[in-house]
Amino acid sequence: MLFDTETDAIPPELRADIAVVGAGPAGISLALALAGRGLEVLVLESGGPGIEQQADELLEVTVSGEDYPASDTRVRALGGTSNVWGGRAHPLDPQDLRVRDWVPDSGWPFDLEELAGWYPGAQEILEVGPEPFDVEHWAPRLGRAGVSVIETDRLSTALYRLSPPTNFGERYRDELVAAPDVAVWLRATVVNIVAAPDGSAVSALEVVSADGDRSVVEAAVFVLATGGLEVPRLLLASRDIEPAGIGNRRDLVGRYFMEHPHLDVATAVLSGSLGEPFGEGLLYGIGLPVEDSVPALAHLVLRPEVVADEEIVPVAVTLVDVQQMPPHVDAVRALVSDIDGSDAWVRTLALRGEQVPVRENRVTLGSEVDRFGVPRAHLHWEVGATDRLRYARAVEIIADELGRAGIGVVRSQLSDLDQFPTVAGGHHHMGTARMHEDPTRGVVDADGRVHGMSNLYVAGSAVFPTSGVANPTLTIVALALRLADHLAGGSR
Amino acid sequence: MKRISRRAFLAVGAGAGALIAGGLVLRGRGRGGCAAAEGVDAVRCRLAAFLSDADGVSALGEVSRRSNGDDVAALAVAIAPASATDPERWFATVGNDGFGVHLRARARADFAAGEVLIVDGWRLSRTESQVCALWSLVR
Repeated sequence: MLFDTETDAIPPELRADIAVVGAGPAGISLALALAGRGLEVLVLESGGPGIEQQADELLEVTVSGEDYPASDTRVRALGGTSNVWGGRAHPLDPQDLRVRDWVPDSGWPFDLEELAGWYPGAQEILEVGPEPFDVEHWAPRLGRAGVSVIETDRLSTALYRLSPPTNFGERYRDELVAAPDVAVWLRATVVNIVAAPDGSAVSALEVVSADGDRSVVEAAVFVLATGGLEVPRLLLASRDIEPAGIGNRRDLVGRYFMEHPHLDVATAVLSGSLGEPFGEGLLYGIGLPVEDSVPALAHLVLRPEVVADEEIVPVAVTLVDVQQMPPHVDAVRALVSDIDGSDAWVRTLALRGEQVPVRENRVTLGSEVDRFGVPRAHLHWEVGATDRLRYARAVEIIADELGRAGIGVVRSQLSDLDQFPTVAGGHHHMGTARMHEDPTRGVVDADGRVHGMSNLYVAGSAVFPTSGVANPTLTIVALALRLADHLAGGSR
Repeated sequence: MKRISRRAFLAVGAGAGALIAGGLVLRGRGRGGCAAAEGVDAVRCRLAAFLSDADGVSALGEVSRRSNGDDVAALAVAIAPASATDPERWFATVGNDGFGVHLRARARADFAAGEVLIVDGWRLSRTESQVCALWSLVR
């Protein structure tokens, strides 16, 4: 069932077994996974059926630190930010979840095997096909397509799958409507989480409709699925019982915000003799249509043992059209062409990296309020010297490995930290309700339940303790499916 | 041990410099016709025949010399294969294809051994860097 407070009067009181806040990839995946399992599920979405300025005004955020357009790439609408999603999908790698001594506060409360059972379902939901991601699996088809990939002692190729991309609002609207025990309310904005007097549980949500009518939602279980900026905002803004905000007795809510910093890191002059990887079938940077029409996008990555040995962070590099011609590029191209006996290519190396979780990168409440009186979020985000040095080292390794393999010559733009290139984000908002079994180190436990709250859960990338380098949506959906199984099991 | 006469190199080099001043276009010798050249002229001939961007590589070489020095003979010896008992003859006779194969292998070995030099930001193998430096000295 699908309701819209613009056309349907919202009752002053609503009840459900499970109330889900947010109808993005996490919220919709969770709701549909719970459908048919004997639970009444209520989904509350602040936006309407599509992108509307009025709804998006509610999520405007102020930013300090890096120049970062945090307001521009989130959407309040059915489908959430999948309305503007790019579609890249890749699971986390095993090392991403491990404790790494050189990455403070690293380590998930479970290993990747725990998620393995839910990734296939997430792949289906994201319409990226059921096949695995490993290059070996795809090698025969890549070979038949005349495409080779770079595999050396220190470098490997990660094949990212490209979703259509799935717009959850369009793709799953009918399923939501048809699900008998799922009710979705559009233009129903949650403005407050009401805690029980002893602060140990959530008793209700306060909701405002399109025309300002107030409603109270009661449920046995509440799930926040509003993204890495809005989850901490709502927790921090709900201060009736807990002065510091719900789940925030240890001052962790909103902290450890992480992005995937994106930056152009180098110019590469690449051997023309390699042919297809850099020719018409340019693989590193452009989607490759393979036989079953499932596109893939290749990234150069450092092998996990190299990342560990060097005590750096994972990065993924694509080769894109050259953005800026550095000094001597024509001479180097000529030299490489002369030595190699074929015309060399010039490309820019575009890097995306994991960011070390840092307490000071955080979401707080700003001084402004939205039209419903809810304080806006303020984000402070910086890419620190530790990250920058590690990206610089990663580029050095990639450069020297390309040279060792006879693939190319590289000019790094990261040699001088004072002249560091502009850092952009990937619109991935992670870590602000981090997962840890120890309540002194995490906001939620391994199930996604807020520490100290018996019935409040968080779904989405806010719970990521570390991010790896993979685009997060596939893992967001996998975690949502895992949470659905947990909630369904726990409710039986 | 490679056999090369530094004195002979410099002596021949002085004469070759005069030829350049007189307008001899070395690239006009073609890509393989260096067999008759001697000393630094053999080096110049080979590099002139091999390098397609003489000015650009020379400019890069000017920078590269900060790391590699200005010793023509030493650079030539460093670039030639260790097995070449007469490096100047090797430059004269190797041919462009052979020169490319040699440089390609050497560059890869340099990277594997960590022999990397930063030349105006470019991470070049020591051999590539030396080729640039040498060309800027002998052209």
